[in-house]
Amino acid sequence: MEMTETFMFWKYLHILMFVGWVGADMSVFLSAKKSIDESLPFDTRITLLHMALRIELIPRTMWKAALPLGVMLSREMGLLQITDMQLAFVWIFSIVWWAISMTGAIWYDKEWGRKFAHFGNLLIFGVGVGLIAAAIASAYGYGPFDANATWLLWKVGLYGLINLTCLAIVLAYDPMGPAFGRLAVEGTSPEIEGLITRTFNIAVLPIWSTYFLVISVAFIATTKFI
Amino acid sequence: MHKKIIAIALLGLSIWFGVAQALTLSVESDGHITGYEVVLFLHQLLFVFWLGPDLGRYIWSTRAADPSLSPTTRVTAGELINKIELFPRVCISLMLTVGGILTEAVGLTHPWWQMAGIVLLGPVWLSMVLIGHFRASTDLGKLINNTDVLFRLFMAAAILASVSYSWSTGRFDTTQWVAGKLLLFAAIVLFGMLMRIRLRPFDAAIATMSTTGPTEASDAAMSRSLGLARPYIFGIWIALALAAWLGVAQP
Repeated sequence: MEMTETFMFWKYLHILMFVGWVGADMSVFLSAKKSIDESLPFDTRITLLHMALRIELIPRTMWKAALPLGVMLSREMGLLQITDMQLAFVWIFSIVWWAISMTGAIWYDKEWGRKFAHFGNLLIFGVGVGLIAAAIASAYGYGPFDANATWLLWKVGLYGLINLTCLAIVLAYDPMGPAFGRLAVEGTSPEIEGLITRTFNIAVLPIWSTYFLVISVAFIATTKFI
Repeated sequence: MHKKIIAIALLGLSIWFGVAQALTLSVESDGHITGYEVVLFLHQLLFVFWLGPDLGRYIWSTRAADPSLSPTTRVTAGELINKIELFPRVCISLMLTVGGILTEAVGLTHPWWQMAGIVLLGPVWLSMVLIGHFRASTDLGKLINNTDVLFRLFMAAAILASVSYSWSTGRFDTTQWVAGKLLLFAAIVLFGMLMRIRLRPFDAAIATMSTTGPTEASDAAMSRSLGLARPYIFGIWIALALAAWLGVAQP
């Protein structure tokens, strides 16, 4: 395959996306982990949690950007048959998806923000399941991707799965907000601290699964061994 | 200690494996994993875990300098900065070794003694970083942290000398982008050193904040310190992004 300038441009953005996703998420994870430290005063813990959610806007953006960037790269490589109109749809959908997700994340403490977040969750589920289905269909020769590019099919399918693990993080972390609300009103207690710690520990499983899957996808893209 | 020796030995073995594979296998491959691809992947991971966490570290440093936050919050922010910055420091320590091995695959061969130096540099630099971070209060940790400026100056000078010599002999004639990446790396090492010097008042203020609390003077010193370090922080990000572009485009 010829390395055109356009291909290199999208590849470069694809790598930067990887940086802003998993790389930046290290700070999110460490900040969130510190926020469950019950030896710290409440204002410190809420700042840690708030900052974790603010820094998380970077990986959140990159996670959404992976969709159109991946589509552009696949198209440049000639592995995805897609018309200009369909391409425009992918971009518009991705931008709308991102905007809904960001609105829900930025205004997480508002009722209407939570509605956006809830709708965003439905979209994540749809994208996840849709991409897994597209990868499987393509493997059998009925999908939009080249059936011979098995590494790409794995990438697409795993990205779909990543969307589901990200959704699992969101759902697992959901009780954290109300738990911190109780902490603000009632003060610390073994029950509330137990709830906060338990919530974090449950969320850790999909968080680490997501890191593992994103890194696996990058490995597949680099080695194309599969 | 035993675990650390095993970890360093494993790292050395994996790098050796990468060298061996990079020397014997083609750049192009499909359906199997080559040593070149493994090392290239490691190279990408180092970039990811260098620049990505550095963004978070910078954001937290602005919080630590924020006088509207409680002293405990600011001290906790300082602790987080210390934890997060281990990622970029580990990555910078291994980057030259991994990058050096990769250059073999693009035709820049090295005599055995140079390759031995390249391969050894990573584990040695990494050990310095880990001891300086986890054993900062020991004599060895203090020695390593106090000589960081000298070490970085040495590294930058060594890279500059190496690139200049190789350039004069025409070694970079077909791979000028590698020379560009090396010069950017030298600039990053220097920017990192200058950033650390600029951040000394910031670190000192954080260290005393937990005992004496913040004062107007310490707040002003932190703000000024961060402001002076900012151009170098952004400089590192820009240089990293440029180096990544050179790696992708290979002009």
